[in-house]
Amino acid sequence: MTTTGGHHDDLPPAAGVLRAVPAEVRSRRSMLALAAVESGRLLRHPAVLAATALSVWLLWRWGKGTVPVLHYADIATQFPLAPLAAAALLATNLAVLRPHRDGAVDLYGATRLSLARRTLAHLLSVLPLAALGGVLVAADLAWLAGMPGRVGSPNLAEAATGPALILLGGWLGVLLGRLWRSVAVAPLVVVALAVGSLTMTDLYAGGHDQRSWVWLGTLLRPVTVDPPPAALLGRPAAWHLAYLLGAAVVVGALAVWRSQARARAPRRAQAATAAVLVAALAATTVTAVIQTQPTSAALAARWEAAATDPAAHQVCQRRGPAVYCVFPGFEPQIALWEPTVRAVVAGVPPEVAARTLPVTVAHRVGWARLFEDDAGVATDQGQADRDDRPVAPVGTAWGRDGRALATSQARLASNVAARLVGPPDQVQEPATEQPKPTAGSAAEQPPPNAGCNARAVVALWLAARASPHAAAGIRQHVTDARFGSFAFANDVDFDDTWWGVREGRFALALLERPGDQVTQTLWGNWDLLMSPATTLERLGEILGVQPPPGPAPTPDIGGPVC
Amino acid sequence: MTAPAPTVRARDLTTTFGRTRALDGVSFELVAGVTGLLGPNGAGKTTLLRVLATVSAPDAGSVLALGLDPRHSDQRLDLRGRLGYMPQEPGFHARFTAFEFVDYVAILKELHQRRARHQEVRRVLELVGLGAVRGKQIKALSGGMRRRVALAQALLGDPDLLVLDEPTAGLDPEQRLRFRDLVSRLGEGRTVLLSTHQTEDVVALAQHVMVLHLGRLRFAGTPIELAELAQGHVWQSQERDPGALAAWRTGTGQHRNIGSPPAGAELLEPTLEDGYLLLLGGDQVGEAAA
Repeated sequence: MTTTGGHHDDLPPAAGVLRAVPAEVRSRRSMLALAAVESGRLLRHPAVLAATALSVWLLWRWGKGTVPVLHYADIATQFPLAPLAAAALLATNLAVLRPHRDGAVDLYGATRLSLARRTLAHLLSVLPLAALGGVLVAADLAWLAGMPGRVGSPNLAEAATGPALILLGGWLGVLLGRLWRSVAVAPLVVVALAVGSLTMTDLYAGGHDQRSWVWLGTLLRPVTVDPPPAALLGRPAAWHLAYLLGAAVVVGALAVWRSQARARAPRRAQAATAAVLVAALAATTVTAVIQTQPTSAALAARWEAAATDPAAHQVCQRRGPAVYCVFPGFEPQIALWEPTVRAVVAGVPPEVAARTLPVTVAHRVGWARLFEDDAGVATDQGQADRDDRPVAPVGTAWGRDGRALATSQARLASNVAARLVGPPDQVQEPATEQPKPTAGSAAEQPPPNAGCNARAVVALWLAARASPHAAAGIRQHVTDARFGSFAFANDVDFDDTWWGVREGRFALALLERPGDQVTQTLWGNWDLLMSPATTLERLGEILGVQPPPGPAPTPDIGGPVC
Repeated sequence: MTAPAPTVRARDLTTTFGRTRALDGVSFELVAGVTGLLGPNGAGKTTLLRVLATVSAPDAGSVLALGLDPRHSDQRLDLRGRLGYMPQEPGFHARFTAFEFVDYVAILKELHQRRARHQEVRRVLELVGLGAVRGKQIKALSGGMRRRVALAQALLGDPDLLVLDEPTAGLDPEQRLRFRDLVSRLGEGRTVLLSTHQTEDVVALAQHVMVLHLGRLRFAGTPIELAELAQGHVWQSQERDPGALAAWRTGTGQHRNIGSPPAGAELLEPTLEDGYLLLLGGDQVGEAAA
């Protein structure tokens, strides 16, 4: 458009206004310009700023207690973006309702840009926020990838799920604004979605099958503490992503269709939107069905094999005093374990080490929940049937700092020490309030591990001396034990040792004494101390130390287990 | 000398809200220049302006504005591209700055090229005297400044038809003078229709005037013609004349009466306001005069 010729001679001329551009092009460009303005406002919205800060904090903290396994860490990026998705829903809803809230409907109604195009602009405005979510996820994963000992590589579909949630949230906010003109609706929907999603994830974490109806939800957290190898994950991540994106397109198309209907848009445009809506609905339905299919027989077989015969699926390396067996891809973790193993081995007499070594350290993970219901694998029996030599079990999750690192080191160090002090003997696993039992009762068959009497004290002392973290982990578990024994793993493996609490207290008491003096005494009485029959009282006599009292009898399990 | 060609033709416009006829068969023509639309509250002014601004469609009747019929969507869009509309309540987004608000409306008006659009936004803000405060949030602006922001957005794209609903409401005398100056310049060569309660605005600005009352067009002509309606119906007296439709004491201490003068009354030269009040007559006079 040019200034209307001739009139308003004393007024400044209008800037190059735009009648030369075809109407369709002009309208589309205006829509993009509006999207740019709205996206800028969306990114600066207080709710989005607050949610971004919260998401960054959650990304930084959520699931970060262990050395990263990237094909598992990518899943942990999804929940932290939920606040951003909620904020996107609220902020886009407010933006869509702005003319209604401010009474500008008449003003907007006299302008050229159609309601449907304005709706499209609001939909497009969410894309930069979703991209911001992607940047946060990428930065998080890049940070994790730079950590020593990190394992695996992220799955693009898992990593993109969080940003897809933001997109879905934002587009849902647009749709709600086009359906209802009340600003009260969006917060109610956010609350309903939050309650629904958390309920679903709780059901999921409670042991339901990995591929069940819960995948129709949005937020799905990992089911086990120990990350399985990527091949055993079995998460339909790509289908779930497609499902979320399909749902987002359905929501967006509904919003546009509603706008077209209200503004009496040309039938051709309405038909095109309806076609997109139907296609997206079909795609969403298909992906919803696919992602909720039962676990495949092949995957169930792989789970069973990994649980019942893990050695057959691991790669082993001899390094110094130990053989390390890991699931393929987890080799970088060996370097994290080595210092602990070497420190424990250094605590035994050289001739004993020569006789006992190499000790085998191997991945053992508690995936019991993966096998329940659908897979139907008899894991207890499978583990009991293992005929390989006892190993020092270690999880695929290795603590990075704090309590997680203390527990990881305590578990590894104590299990290595257990292998060094002799064959299994008379510990009894507590009967209640513990993870899944790994063997029958002590009365019926020999208990599996060596967690009692003098040699257990020696083993725990060796473990505690391995590192300050290991000592801290032992101290925590002794302190926190509710029964007469304890183990260090959340999902206890058949080869994990159950330790008597009294033995643990004794070992911690020994830590207070000069290490060289204790070492000298222990080495001088090694064979006696390694006898399963040597009691704590005898050990106390040898060391000149009064053994600590045992834990008080617990009515429901009938007292200490050693 | 031939009469100027009409830029807007309205025929039998009728709009009903429930049982209320907001517009009842209104027909008129507008030509280039400023036309004042007078009428008391509830007369249907805003409804008429919304129809002209294509915000709403009449239940019956037709409009042809700038040669475009808004019943056809293509022509309606074209018309929107050539009109500027300042609603009575523009609905400001308080957290927007003046620039952001006008820029936002510019986008809705499909001024899509960023640089040219920003230049245009700056131009209209300068035009209404808000160049210095364009970065201020609207919530921080005075009522008068907000009215000017509303006017600025209406001026975007140099429209051929300006529809202004109560543009001087809430302005102080100085602001009103500035506004009159601006509108008088805007009215040179384009069609401006402004609704107002203020007859002084019409006197100062309008070459044409329409009076709407109870949804019906009661008068269309020039301000002089409206004033002439009261010729012989305005007189001066020491006391309020009980037979007058309206009367008030002037600054001279005399009373100015409108209605049917008694014999021998001292007649006065009527004003536009006198004509307007006489036209409304009866119970409506007091309200309109207020």
